[in-house]
Amino acid sequence: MSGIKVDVQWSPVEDDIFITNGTTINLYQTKERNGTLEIPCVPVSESKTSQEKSRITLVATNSELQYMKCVAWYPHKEQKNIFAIAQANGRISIIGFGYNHTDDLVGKEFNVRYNRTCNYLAWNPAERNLLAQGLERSRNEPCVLIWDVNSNNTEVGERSRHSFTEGPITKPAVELGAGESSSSFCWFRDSKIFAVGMANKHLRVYDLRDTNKAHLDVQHRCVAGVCIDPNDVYRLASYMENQVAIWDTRSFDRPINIITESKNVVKLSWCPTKIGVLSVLTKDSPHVKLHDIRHSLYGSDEIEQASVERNIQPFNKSLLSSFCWHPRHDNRLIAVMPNGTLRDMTVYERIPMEWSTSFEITMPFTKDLITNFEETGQANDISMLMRKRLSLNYGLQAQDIAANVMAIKDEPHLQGLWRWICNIRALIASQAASSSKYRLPLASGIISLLHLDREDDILNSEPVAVSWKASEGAKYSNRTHYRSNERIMALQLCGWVTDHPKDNFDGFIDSLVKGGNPERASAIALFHLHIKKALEILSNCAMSSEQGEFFWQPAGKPNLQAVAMALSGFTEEKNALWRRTCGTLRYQLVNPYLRAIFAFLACDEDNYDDVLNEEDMSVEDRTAFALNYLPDSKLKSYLCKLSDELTKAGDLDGVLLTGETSLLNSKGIELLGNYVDLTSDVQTAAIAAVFSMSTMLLKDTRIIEWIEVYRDLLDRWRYWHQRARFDIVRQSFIQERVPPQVHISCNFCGKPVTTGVPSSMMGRISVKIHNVFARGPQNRPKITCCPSCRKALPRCAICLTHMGTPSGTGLESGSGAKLTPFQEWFTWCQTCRHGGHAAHLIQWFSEHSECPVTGCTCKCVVQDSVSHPMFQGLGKKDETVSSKLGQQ
Amino acid sequence: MFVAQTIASEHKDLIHDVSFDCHGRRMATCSSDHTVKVWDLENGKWKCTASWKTPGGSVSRVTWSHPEFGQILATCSFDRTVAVWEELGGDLSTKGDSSANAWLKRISLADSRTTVTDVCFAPKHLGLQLATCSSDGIVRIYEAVDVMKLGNWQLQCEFNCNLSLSCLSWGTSRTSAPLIAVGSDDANIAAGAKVLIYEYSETTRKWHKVSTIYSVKEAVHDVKFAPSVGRPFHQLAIASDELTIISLKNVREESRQISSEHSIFEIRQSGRFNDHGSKVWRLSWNITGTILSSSGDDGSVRLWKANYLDIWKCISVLKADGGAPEEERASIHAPSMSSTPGSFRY
Repeated sequence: MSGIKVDVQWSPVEDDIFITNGTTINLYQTKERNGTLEIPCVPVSESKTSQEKSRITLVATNSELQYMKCVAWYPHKEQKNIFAIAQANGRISIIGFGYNHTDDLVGKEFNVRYNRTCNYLAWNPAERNLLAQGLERSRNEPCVLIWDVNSNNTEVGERSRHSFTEGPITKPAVELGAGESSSSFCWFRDSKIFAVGMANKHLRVYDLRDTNKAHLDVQHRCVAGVCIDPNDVYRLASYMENQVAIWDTRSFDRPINIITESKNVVKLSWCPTKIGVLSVLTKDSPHVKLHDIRHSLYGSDEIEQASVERNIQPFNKSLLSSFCWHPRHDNRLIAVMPNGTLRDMTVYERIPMEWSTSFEITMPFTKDLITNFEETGQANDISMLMRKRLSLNYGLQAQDIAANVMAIKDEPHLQGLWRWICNIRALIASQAASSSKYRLPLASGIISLLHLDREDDILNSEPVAVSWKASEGAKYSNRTHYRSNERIMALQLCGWVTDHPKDNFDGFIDSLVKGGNPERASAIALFHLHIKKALEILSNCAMSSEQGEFFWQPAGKPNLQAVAMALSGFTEEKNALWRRTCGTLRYQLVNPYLRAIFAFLACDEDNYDDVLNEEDMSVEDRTAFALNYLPDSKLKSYLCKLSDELTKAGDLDGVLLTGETSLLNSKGIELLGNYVDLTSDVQTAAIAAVFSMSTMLLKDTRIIEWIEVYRDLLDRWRYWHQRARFDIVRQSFIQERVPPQVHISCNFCGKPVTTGVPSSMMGRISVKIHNVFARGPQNRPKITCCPSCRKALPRCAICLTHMGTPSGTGLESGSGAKLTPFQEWFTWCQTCRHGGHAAHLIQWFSEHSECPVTGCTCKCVVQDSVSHPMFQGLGKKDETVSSKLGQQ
Repeated sequence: MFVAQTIASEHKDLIHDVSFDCHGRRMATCSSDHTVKVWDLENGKWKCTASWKTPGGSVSRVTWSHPEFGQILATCSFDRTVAVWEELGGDLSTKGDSSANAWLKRISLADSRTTVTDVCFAPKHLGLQLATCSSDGIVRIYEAVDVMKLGNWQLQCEFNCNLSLSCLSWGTSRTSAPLIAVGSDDANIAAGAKVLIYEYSETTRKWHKVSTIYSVKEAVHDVKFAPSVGRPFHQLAIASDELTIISLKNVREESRQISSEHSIFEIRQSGRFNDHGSKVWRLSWNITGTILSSSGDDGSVRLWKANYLDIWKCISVLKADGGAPEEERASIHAPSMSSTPGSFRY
């Protein structure tokens, strides 16, 4: 070991005071709990500044005594900071901080015969006048001395001939262990009993009232560092070399457990605030090891090592000199390095924790306090987002697409998907209305619409020369558009309205302007060569925003005027200054549509790459532009490339291109999959799959997985109503019969006695009954017996007619009342399984609480105290509960 | 902003585990004071509705089954046993306020020769199964023969990992074959990898080791699979001296038809952090598997979230005393960071 060993101990009475003792005694005060700052105990002058900032301050220091061996803190509440100090020669001096030798205790000295090394000092915690001292062996002298510091019989001790000490020899109150050595000692709490390790082979427990004979005695090599668990008076621990023995005083003949450390133990101590936790410091080790010794089994043949252990490393990898637990504070530990560096630390428990289903995390920080953290603000996590969307009925409305879009209005990355859903529905509806032979496949994207996913090129678009709609006088050469039926449908899918006399193109553009996006309107107008219209939009918008006429427009677009002006100078002349300037200046524009406008005007006849690669433009607009301007082969390569990129990026806007059905290459599912992988937004994936209305799609395993996971999430959030509504939405797209859930079956033949639509599993009979019901309600037969075996149904407990017979209640209560199906309903107590007509039972239980059946003492009404017991258990939809009515 | 609500636990000793039921409305805690407590959320406040003492000593883990099988808890204690508890509804609870009796021990599984260190119910789609691991390295899978009779559990499978096990976790994906990850707290670094992944093969009806996480060699204290929420890959968080997040992708996914062959996982490390500056004890994922929380020896709980590039970073630090994390200590450990370039610290 390097340097002088420094030990540390907390004040037995004060919470913020501790000392270190090495060559000197230093008294420290901690300003704050958890003062985990370290003081480098280099010369005081240097460390002064750091000390001021640190939470541990040096209060006093004493370096008068030479060769200090042991320090014991006097445990008195009033007489603070008094220490008994044993020097190497065995002399005990009592010193104090802040006493001027006026106190009767401070300044006393106790000398031993024959100078010997002192091994320990220990004040009795209850009878504070008693101080125990342990010494090395010397001739036949006693090795354990217990001094009474208040007794004044110091004079009687005669000076020994062999002593070289200056002070008077006093006589100890108790002397033990003649001719032996003592290595460790411990007082039992508030008692006159103490444990002592002696002669390297004995562990003994003595009683002060009878010190002649050891109370308990065991021969064992672990005699060092004996300490008593402050939380369990029967438990002791001691060590020798690398072995730690744990003892129970009730069965003291052998240790209850032995822990073997890898290195020699130098300090052993019980944690005063935790039950059964033993802390061990081994030689040259950077950590204090904690053993939870309760978990070893008593009396077992194969003693397991203490199962819970952990290491505390106060100074990371640096070696420790000593440590001390705070006697009262939970898990507070002070550790010291050989150079005197200190750390007052809190040892944290292992914190278990768990997330609740909502954004809430719970953890017990201490044994008696569980802390529940809840995120109340806007956490940007998908789990919160899903719940927020659900509160806005996201995905719960099959027909009203706009309501779904409203729920996600803050999330632009989802808008493209919903625009596609909206457009494809409109397209399908218009196709159906126009009674054309061609049936549009459900949930298709532009790629499959244009048959781009097929090898053979069947897209035969014809080029159409389109002239500019410019103001009078201006003459521009025509541009070429490509047209085909598929392209027109695809354009509709993009949300564009074609510049066809039939369609309301101007209305479309105007609606875009009103929608607060004049740049886009202008660009689309220009792409249709309505340059005049485009200019008008821009200049109108610039002016109106200055005047603030249109309040819905975002303010501050005056630069549109400048853009309009620049546009009006458009010339087709190659190498003209205008074109070159446009080509460079457009990169300074912020709005992608304005950039696209200039790119469009500046580019050559057949090269629209600048427009097509304007990535900030929405996918729809880029695609629509391509649909207008690109010839077939280029269109194919452009769209395929674009869809590949979007698929890879998991960009939901790409659904427009891929659709969701193309099962052959399943690009759409791949895209959704990538989206889920990136965002974990299984909600949107499940809803998108459902809203595609494609039955084929809902059979894909990944899609099923998403839907199931999403339903599971809803269930875990207890959003059962939302789950049910989602299921309804899903069901509304797949035309499938829903099997009934609960059957009443006949007690004799086991066939259902059902008044509902029978499930398909019922086979032959179901068909028959189904036919019966097809006749209509007026012909509905009275079922008073099982329809298959003709045995009578059980009787109503009140009126004793067979169930199925009209209850007759309605007739009694006057002319106005009618027979309702509810009154004939069978009902029964879930516990005693007695019942009858609903109306009769209601009457009965309005007056009685016990079952109407003779001999049955069931308090049926009490069972009903739970709010709605009938429908509580029916969580799963496909659950078929078959209940049998007992015959009376 | 996180708002903390505290609950007086009334446990007399260290709480070892806390577990929520499927809906997050019930909570179970277990402690060194031999008791298990069940808490119910009533009007936004947690109320202890049952508390009972177990005979087996300190209870180290507690876990809920899916409510589909009933209100069932499984606990493991240091006395080498696993207990399955069921809440009795109806008759008994109406008898009076003897709510503590409402939980009944259905069975005590005492197969282990050493301490059972973790117990976990399988995901719902695998039925009522229970996996346990013990410090002698044996993983046992039990299955309730009849959900109505919880006194009858059958030891379905048993395999030895030859490492002292400390934790296990079930894979959560319902499309892939059942997976279990186990972690070992063997402190011997030379003993090699401490996290092993086992897969159940339907054809052989056995669990096979399909993967070994070689990057973690220090003692592992917790492993947790993230809820899959439809992702085709598995995410696994490992608590050791550092926090490690890995993703496992089955490269044989495409040819899943050949079910006799077990999966081959491509392992990618998404992040490795030592922000705790010390051991990481426990882990928990949120419901969508998008936020991971870790608790460490520094007495703090850290929340982690990935951005769209799958780069994880610490988004929040929660402390018992509400204090800020110690910057000074953080800086001590900064140089030894061995994480991805995108790792951030707060």
